Amino acid sequence: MNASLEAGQSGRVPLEFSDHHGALSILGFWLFLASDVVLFSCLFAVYASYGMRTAGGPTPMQLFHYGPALAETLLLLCSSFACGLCVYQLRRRSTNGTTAWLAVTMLLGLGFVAMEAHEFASYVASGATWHKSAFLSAFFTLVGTHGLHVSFGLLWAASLLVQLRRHGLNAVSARKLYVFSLYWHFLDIIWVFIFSAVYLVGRIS
Amino acid sequence: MSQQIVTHASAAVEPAAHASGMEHADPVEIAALMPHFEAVGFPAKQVFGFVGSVALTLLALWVVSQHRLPAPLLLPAVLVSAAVQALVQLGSFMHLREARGETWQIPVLALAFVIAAGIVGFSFWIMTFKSGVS
Repeated sequence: MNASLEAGQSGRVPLEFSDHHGALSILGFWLFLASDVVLFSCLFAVYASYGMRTAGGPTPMQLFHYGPALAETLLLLCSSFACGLCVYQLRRRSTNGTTAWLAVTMLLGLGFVAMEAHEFASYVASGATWHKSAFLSAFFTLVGTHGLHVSFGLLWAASLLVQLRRHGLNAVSARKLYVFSLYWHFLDIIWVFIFSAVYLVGRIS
Repeated sequence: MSQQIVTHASAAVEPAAHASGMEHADPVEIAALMPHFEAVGFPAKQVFGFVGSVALTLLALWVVSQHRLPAPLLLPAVLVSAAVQALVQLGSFMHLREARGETWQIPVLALAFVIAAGIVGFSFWIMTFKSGVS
């Protein structure tokens, strides 16, 4: 452990890459992200095909508003930025800094999930359930799948927070944090496409 | 060529390898997939990614909400701005070029993006044929 800590401090190979198996796990996680790109592309394809089939129900223009969509976007973007700073603190070997920015990441992510849950609840309350039309089925499936990913990420981050408090920074906890940061940044990139292709495009025609 | 790169890579990794007592440095055979670990200075990349993403988000929102482009150009403009922002975040937030050995995640991700673009693009294309279904 001490030997690999020194390796990271010399500035060449960071802590999370110090173990060869750990480095392989990180590559494995990239492969998972690539498969998730394909999963989301299928849901985007469904939305692109059925987004205009409103079956007499509410249209995207009636349902979506700029304010909440922009707020959710900024919350998740700030969360992603905080997660980037968390890994930056990890590289500086600051346990407190890493913990603090991970907590900020989680709070902003929680705000995002809360806003989205509120948005979904208000749609359902106004009668726009996912049974209503092909558009709403595709919408709830695409945005809901992303929301579930974020919710799962919050549970994951909470477990990392506990492990950080218990074991501090070592090759294993550093690798787990790094992999979580890849997941979190990836979810924000998916959200950029949801914000553009669903909320902005919904306001065009 | 390849031999030269291997030597270069070993030279770069060697101090760390010595410090950690590792026997072998990471071999790199494909120059384009050479890894690069980010420096621990001011997190300039993260700040650039954040500011750039906020700017692109607001720009896309402004163009759509104020109808700053002719209607047929709005959809392509929004999609292009999303793709640019995705690349900005991929390049600045995600440590794309960090790995032991080759950075295999780059060709794998590129393949995933090709498949994704194919699925979305061709689905959209085939649904424009309105003769059979509507």
